[in-house]
Amino acid sequence: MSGEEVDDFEKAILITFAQNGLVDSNLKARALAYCDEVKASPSCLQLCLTRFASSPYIEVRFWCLQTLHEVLQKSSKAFEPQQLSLIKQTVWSWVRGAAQNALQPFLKNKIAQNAACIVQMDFQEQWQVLVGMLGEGSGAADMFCRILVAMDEDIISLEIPRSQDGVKASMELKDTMREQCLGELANIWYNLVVTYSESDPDLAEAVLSVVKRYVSWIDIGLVANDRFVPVLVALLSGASSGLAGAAADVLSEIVLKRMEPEAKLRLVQQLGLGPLIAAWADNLLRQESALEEVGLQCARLLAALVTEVLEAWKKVENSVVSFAAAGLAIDSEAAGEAGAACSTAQGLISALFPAVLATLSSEDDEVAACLVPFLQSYVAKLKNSLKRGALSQVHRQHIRGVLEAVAESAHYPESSAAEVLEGRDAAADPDALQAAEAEAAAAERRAELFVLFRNASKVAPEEGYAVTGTLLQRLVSQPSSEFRDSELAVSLLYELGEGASEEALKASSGALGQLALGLMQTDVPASGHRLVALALMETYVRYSRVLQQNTQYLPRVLDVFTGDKGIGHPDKAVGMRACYLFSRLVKGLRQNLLPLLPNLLVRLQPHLAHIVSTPLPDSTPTKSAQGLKGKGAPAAAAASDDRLYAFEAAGLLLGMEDLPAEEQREAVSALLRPLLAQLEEQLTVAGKAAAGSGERRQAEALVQQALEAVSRSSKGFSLQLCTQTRPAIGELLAPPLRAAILIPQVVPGNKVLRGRVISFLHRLVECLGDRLLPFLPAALAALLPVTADAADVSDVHALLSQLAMRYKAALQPLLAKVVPEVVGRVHALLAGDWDWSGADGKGGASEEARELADLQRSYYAFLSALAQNQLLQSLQGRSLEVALEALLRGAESHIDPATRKTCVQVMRRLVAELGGGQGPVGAQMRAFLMERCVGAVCLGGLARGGLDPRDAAVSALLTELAGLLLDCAARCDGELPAFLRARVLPQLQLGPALQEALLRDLEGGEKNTKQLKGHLKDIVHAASGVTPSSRGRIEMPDSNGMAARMSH
Amino acid sequence: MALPGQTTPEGVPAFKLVLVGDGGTGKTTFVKRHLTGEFEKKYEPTIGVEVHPLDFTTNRGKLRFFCWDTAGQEKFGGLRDGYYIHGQCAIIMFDVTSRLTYKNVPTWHRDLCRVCEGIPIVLCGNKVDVKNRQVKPKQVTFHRKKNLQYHEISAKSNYNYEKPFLYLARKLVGDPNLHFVEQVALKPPEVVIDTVQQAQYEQQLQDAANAPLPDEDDDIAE
Repeated sequence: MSGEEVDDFEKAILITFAQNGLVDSNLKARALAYCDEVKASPSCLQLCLTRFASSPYIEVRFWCLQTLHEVLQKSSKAFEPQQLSLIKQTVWSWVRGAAQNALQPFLKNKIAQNAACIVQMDFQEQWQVLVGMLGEGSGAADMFCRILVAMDEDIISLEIPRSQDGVKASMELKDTMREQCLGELANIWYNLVVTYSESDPDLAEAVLSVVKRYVSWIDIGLVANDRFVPVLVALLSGASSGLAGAAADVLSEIVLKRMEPEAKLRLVQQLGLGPLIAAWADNLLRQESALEEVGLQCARLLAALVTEVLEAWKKVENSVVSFAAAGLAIDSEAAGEAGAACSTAQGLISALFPAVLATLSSEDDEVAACLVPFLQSYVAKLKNSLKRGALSQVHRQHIRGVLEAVAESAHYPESSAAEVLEGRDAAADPDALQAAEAEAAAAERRAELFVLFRNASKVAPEEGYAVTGTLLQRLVSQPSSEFRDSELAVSLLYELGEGASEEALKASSGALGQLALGLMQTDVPASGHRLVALALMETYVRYSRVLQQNTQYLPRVLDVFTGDKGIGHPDKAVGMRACYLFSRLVKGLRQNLLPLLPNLLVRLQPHLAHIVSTPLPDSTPTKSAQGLKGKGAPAAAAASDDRLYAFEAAGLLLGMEDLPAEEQREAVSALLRPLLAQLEEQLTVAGKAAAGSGERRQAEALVQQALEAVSRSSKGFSLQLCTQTRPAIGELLAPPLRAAILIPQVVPGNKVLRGRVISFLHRLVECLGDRLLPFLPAALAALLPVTADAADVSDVHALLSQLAMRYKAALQPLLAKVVPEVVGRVHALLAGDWDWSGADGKGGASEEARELADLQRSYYAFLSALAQNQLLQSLQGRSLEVALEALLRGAESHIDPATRKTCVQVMRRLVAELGGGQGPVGAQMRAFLMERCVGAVCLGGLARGGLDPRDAAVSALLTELAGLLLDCAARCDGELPAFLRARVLPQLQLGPALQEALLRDLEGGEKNTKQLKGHLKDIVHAASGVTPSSRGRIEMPDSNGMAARMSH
Repeated sequence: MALPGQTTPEGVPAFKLVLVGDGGTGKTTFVKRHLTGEFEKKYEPTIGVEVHPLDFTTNRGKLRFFCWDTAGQEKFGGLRDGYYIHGQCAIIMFDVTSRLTYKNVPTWHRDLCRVCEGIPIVLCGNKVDVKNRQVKPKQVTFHRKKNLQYHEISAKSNYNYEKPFLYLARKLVGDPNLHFVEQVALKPPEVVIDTVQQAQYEQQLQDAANAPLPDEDDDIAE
């Protein structure tokens, strides 16, 4: 290449690297193409070797190294000896240069990659060159480390996914190194660490990071020996934190090395890290700042030690157990060895346990978290060993220690505010934001710690009670305790209650019951703090059994719920949660609350008035049904206002039959009266306000809130109460019901409100039973205004279907009036060119088409509900005619096999009700059955294709079709086979054998549904792979006129 | 890292952020969610790298990431690890619906660290909005071995969008309490994430953090 070209070469590389947006993309493309050409040219190698040294640009130098590495990897075997020798020489000269001169680290690493390649090619010779360089100072040692790292990353480590050849190369290199140099290498590491730990700690750290990479596959004795380990231990407590961390990492890697359990225990003993770890944990407790930086690595080392010892212990134990389980005798020597190993393991863990607990109590979350997994599995191990005998004293102390450490460290941060005021913009208030972050982090950490606490308590329940009891006692004796202490003590009691035994919960004798009872009598310090208030109420509810046995404390507890530490808490989230918890409490203690009712209602009243008059703004996701941990809110509840649970509670309280009748009527009336007033007044306001105006929205929200409040209250009024024992209460529900029925007419555009009205009707079915029937005509008229769209009519289908299920024959008079109207609406909406196969509503269809497709399906579901409840006679005349036609088309062609099945089921009912006989009516009936049902729907529909024979829904459809076919055959008095031969089978293009089989199935007197179904499946098979089309479609006259002759 | 073609307002610190990961993991979708980035981006299609300036406002003032989206480099060749030179922080992206993309994370990490020693790196598992995920939270352990930050994200639903940037900004500025004070302008979400499902994943992630790391080396002690 000429000099000028070489200049071009540098320019081209510089252009490809330029990312400043100033280089024209065409030029860049050309530059890139040029570079690719250079790479492909024979002179490329020469160019890389010379230009790296001579170019002043790092980009060019990087490119040379990168390209040489590519070339070496691709075609190392293709070089002439002379070429290869030149490459080796040049690369080593670069290595030496990098060792002597300042160079960017990324260039050093690229050189190291090339050197690693060369070492791999010819290990014996090149290794000597590499080692020979070491006398040349710290720079050389640094390059030595980089080359060893490159060997690991590019060849040895299997963490990087490698090809089959790559895995083989890794094995080969490791074997070669084991044969030739590992002893020497370990010596070099040792010497480098010793030499540089004082003068160049960074370099010594780099050496240790190399050792860490190699430990997993070298003879462990090379590093875990009397020479190397003391050096590591000394570094661990030395002045350089980086070096101490690196030493900890190497020791962790040694501890984690895979080996037999006995060998592992010996290794850990031999390392003798106990005193050092103890000293470290001691320092940690005293918060010595110098150690903070290494804290994490030391904690990991400690975790590795105890985890490995525990695993070895479990393995030894399990092997003994599995020998015994297999019925094999264990000789006394082996048993003795196993026993010795177990006690060694126990001894090692016991020695390290104070350090483990100290680490768990660390201020640094990350440090503390390192030990949680070990403790979980240690506690599980102890729980397991309970099966073989009582807990030893040592283990009991360990459990106690774990419980106390959790109680020490699971506090919320001090910064958590007593209340989070609404409307406070967290983004604008950095302190609040930070506090919220810290609180969220603590909540996350506590979740883990509480699991540990519960599990440890299960191993030794009395220890859990004792630790919690001490904390609760402290609250009593120190009224000035911080909110954090109150909250934690109460929350731990809550945790203990999960799955606690009946015995323990007894307030008279059970330890846990006693603690809970103590809490109910106590004025907990800082009980107004948001977090304490939540913990208290959760705990009261969890221990409501204890309250039930000690009702003298109920007033206290109820005061908390109904006061400003409960529903009236200034923090909205607490108030909302309090409403939910209060309803839970009331549900459990209903009977016990009777004597307290008057006062309770007085206290509740202002809250109810407030809640109903302040609906939540739209789209505010509430923290509904959130637990203490603030997680896992069910998505469905996100749209509802949990404060309304207060009405549910009120309803439950007032719905008790033990209340004197007159008092009850008065109280319920007092509860509902303001709700009704708000509903009516605001509905009038909404009706007058302009659509879309703020006033209208506000009024509609108030209507909805009042309606919801009535609906929730009614949950407390049982059917028995409203219709039999206290019909007066049922009557009190009539006015709100009448008001609710008006809603869809007054504000027709509000779909949410419409939905709430429908739910309200469902709700009142449960309260009023048959007494709801007189209200239904008006309600249905309101729900089916002239403007009703497809979704509205679908709603009505669902409502009517459910009413049919519930009231059965009693609904007949209503249906006789409503059904023609409903059917008429459906056919007006699905008029003209609607494709009854439902294909228009698929996938990318418009919203409108999808709604229409939904309407068609809900229509079939509605007809099916009528059929199932013997209410088909509400279809008469014109509505029967169109409904039958809709069913026929759905059964024949609907894309959804489950929908088809529904249609077929309804048709079977209709067919059963057809009038027959020998006269002209009978003949017409038979013609209809043969042509439409059998020809078009059953056989023609299957032959259209588009059904997947493996689909379970298709199988269910075939069962119904087989049933329908046999029904038809039975009603056609033997005319069917001839008709099939003449009119149907010729059009279906079925094999002759299948045709004959079908005829046999339908001719015979006996009904073999299963066999027929098998043959229908053959039709589906034959037609599968064929897209639904008019193939096989049997042109038959429609059902016009037929329906008129059906009699019920 | 001042890039003359994209003037950074005076006094605004700017950092080169390298975005790597297998093709199809959603790197480009991710950077393009950020509206300033999309607005001002310079497209360098021929060599398969796009540089997007992504601006964030923190309590300590504005800062800018020049995000080097190495999309398409698999196909185009280009400079490979040459793009990482002078990178100050990085995001390694994989796709939780594709195991292979997670398996390749160590390779990306290795190549990155070789060129940029000691920079803060975030590992991101993208596409957590997809129902059928293949890489479960408990299988994601790489970050724990290498001290990386890990975030589950969904570029399409903007889920956790700012989390990786916040982590990097805190590390680069050296202030663990730094936070963003303005809502980042993002494209509206294309999908809505199932919060219940995601809460479960987060729980699993939590559980996974407590589980021991799986063994990786098959060699038994000599």
